[in-house]
Amino acid sequence: MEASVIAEFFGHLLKASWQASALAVVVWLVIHALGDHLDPRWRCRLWMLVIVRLAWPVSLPSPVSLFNWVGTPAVLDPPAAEPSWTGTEFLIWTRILENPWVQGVWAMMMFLLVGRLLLSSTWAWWVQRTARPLDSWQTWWILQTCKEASGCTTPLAILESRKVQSPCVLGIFRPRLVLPRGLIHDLDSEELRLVFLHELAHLNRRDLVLNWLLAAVEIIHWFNPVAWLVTRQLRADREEDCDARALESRPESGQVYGGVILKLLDRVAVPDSSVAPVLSSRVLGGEESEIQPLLHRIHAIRRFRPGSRCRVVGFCSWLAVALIGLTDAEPVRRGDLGMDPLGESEIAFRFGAGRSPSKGPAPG
Amino acid sequence: MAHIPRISETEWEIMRIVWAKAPVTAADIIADLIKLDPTWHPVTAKTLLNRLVRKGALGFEQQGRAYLYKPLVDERSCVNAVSSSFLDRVFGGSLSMMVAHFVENRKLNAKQVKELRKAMDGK
Repeated sequence: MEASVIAEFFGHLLKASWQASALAVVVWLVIHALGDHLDPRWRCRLWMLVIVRLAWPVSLPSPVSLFNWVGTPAVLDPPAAEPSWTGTEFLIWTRILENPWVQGVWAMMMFLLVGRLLLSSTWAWWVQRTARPLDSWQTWWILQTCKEASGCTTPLAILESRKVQSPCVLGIFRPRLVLPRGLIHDLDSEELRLVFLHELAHLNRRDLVLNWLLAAVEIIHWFNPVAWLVTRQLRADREEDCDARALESRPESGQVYGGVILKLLDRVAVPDSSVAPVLSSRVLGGEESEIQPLLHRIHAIRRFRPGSRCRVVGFCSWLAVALIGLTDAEPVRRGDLGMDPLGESEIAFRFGAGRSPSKGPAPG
Repeated sequence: MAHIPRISETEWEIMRIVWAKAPVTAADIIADLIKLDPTWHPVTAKTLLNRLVRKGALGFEQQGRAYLYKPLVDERSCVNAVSSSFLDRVFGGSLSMMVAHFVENRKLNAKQVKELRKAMDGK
């Protein structure tokens, strides 16, 4: 019984993973087909559909579901004595999961990823603990005007820390805005305003809660590279969304905004000849891939025009993808699949053709 | 690569003043420290100045009866040294996955920053 429960759990997990992967392909196609007609806000919402699919494997059947055409539909009327997996699939799963190497790798990956999450939370707590309150009423005043402009009512303290290299917000329950030590001397009031509008956009979007959801999805679906690609793309698109929200109230400040990003990167740039000590995307894709997300962001800032994209296009595409992607295939009856609901073939094999076990001996 | 000394939180305050105003006398440094934070004591500041000289972060030259202090390491090298701790090296930027950044933690080199600047200027 325990083995069947585990096999069933992993069955649902794999189903969620492959369905989300198929949905990710659809989302990618929609985003590339619509191009600049889709603003980053709707791109994030489309990627969130994939995250929902990864996080919640149960869904209602629908005739319009994508999975009516992709994958194997569920079967109605399984025999009561059997689990919802057929005998062959159950055996395959239990064999795979019984393998000590598979169990070891699975446990190790879960341990590493959960450990990474705990370390990140500890680091965030440590930054808050060791940061100093910022003693600058001018900076505080700029933050208050930005909060009014962005409609953010969350109480927010400003701190300074040497442990961060970029302004950031952290703390789900008592958020704090942490600035790198000395940054307020390097940025003028307009630049600080843009930074604050970006960070307040993160708060308005509830991105600190989203971070936890994305981390959970990455842990549970660690084996699925599509899950990692989707979370990475979602993070990149949400930065562009926050840039757009910041520029909405100050559309003439695009050049200044891009300049702030470059100023921050310049502050921590390493010498050209240095070897990167970190296990970052340098290992995966070289110097060019490292700056691709930033290049994309800078191009988006340069091209930003308020109100230039049609919200109807974003909403309709999101709704269509949600309807086909968040629903499940309609189950089919065993008879329709050529299956044998009453076990007639087994009865014929065991008791002879034309007889049932309840009848008497065959005539003749 | 030149040795970058470990600088504590309080010593950092002194270094920022010296980077901004070098060459600068001890009296001017202490006056600026007290302006920023009145709880600074001149004796503490002088102790820390001596410590920074011994560590090789500050040098000095005598002009008459006054000593003028100047930095022996640049600010950027010190910032990089502080942030490149062991955990930073192992986990890269992923230690900060629970925060929402303005710019993701990336240590780019000058050539990459120049390329981004060209993109911003539309070239």
